[in-house]
Amino acid sequence: MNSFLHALDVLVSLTRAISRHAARLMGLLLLAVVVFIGAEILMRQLFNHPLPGVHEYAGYVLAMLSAWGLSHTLMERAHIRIDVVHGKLPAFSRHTLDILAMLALNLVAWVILINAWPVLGKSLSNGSTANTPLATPLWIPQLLWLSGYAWFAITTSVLGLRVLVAACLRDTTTLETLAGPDHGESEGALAQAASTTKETR
Amino acid sequence: MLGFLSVGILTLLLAGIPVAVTLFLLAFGIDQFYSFFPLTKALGQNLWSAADSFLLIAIPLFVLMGEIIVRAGIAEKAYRAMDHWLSWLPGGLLHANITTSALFSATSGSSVATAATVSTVALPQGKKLGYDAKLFCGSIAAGGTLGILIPPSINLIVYGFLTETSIPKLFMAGLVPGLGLAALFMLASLLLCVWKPSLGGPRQSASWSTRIKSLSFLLPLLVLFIVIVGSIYLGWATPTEAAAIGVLASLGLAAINRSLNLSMISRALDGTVKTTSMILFIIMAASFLNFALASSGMVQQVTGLLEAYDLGPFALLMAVIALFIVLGFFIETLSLMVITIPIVTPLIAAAGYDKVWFGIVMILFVELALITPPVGLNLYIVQASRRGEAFADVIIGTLPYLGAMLVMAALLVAFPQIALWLPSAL
Repeated sequence: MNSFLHALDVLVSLTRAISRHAARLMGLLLLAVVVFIGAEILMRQLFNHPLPGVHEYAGYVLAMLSAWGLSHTLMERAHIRIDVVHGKLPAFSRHTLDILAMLALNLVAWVILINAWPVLGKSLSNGSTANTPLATPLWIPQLLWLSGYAWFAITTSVLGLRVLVAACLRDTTTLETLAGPDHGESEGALAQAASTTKETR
Repeated sequence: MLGFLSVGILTLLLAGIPVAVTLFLLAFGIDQFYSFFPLTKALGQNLWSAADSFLLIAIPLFVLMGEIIVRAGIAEKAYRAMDHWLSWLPGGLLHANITTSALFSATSGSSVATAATVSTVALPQGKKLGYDAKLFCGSIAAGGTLGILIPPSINLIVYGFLTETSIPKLFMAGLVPGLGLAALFMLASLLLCVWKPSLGGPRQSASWSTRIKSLSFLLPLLVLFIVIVGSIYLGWATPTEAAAIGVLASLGLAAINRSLNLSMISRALDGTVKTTSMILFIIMAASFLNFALASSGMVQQVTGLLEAYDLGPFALLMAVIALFIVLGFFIETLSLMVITIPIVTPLIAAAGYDKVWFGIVMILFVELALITPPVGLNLYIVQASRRGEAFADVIIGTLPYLGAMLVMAALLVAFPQIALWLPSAL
């Protein structure tokens, strides 16, 4: 049992690390979008020569971000939950609701993945291309987008499994750190960030 | 179906199920129980077309710009400048709190970021100078809400996206009411402090040379605001392009302020990805729920119900506003918007109201929701910066500003031109 638990914890940390790196990559892609849009505006206004494809690729980046950012956000417990009632319940009901929330998340993540798959499948079988001058084969951005949802589904299942095991072992600390709501910590972190910048000057 | 929907939303949300998951579950439920054809089959295509969007990328870009400005320490200097200019008025620093929020919100699309930044800068000052804690905290919490009304505004982008309303028009429409609301906030502080000077603090008058010198601290935020709003207003840039220019400009400002470094950028990017993913997940869910509601005839059902009650347009508007106020006590702001927009906006539009105007009215009540307990994010943000003191102070302190918001709402309903004049001049 102990080695199983250990393996599971390694799996959770691995999932967390991959999700974090994916999120970092999304951040860098966003910066790239900023630079390209800036260049596009310059080219258009100064040389009257727009760069083709900037709008199209920025759209793909947003689609990727919408899928690939989900896992990191889940790991950091930054998906909004309303805890006005939740926070006032006794521990047992609170934990039950946390587990239910985790199961609901699994359900949604997998239903999305299963129904998103045909979008890619159809583009592949029809050889669809984007309705733009570049005529990008749609399967490329769609594959990158879909894989983000696939990773999200895997993340919810890994986390769900760990939470269920923690529940069976009555390990409420792990349950709360993985599946409990974040009590405004991320907002606190922002305030903290603002105050540390203040202190350093 | 209406019963299923309202009971379902409230139960799941209050049970602490994540907001986006709740919306997806409801859409699946409508598919299972109320739809003749399988809606979930269209889920993938729906998500892809919603996400492959040049418009929505404005959201991460505006979030990123706000993150950079927060971390660059620009707000603190702006606060000091506002203090020099306005603290001779009755109410002293209260005016600096409100105007810094207004100015900061002009460069940030988020009320939470605005309130968090101004809190950390202002609260220590207020305590040192012996201000009445209630009104001081209230002015920050309320001032922070201006962030979503004065452009750029992430909430207005969400509204525009879900209702297919022009975002440049919405931005322009928010400007005058936003500035008007800031002025009303200042007026409320002024009147209260004239009536009862102990509510404020020491009035300080700075010399003109200090004032002129401090103007350079306001310059960065003003430049940023003019670049963003000006480029949209003149039609040089779309909101997304303006956001990208804003990010580049804020990076430049951070560099001038010597706070630009790799770790700052990487933390700003991390924060941006987290905030944006959370918002996008909710938007994707809302857009699918929108589709499910439209396909299953929900909107017609509600319209039919209202016709049976024979509500006139004005009574309908008042009912909707009452709904916003009640839900605003319990539901966080973005969720409040996405769960009401699919049902309420078609009704309001059918009753003959302008969608741009209604967007501004809705944002005003979303702002109100930000400072009404028990779920009022800005109250908690201000409280987070003053641990160990009574939370009730913050709540009581916002009451005068709640009054000012209701006055603004009444003005908007009575004179829609306050919002619609600027966009029609576009």
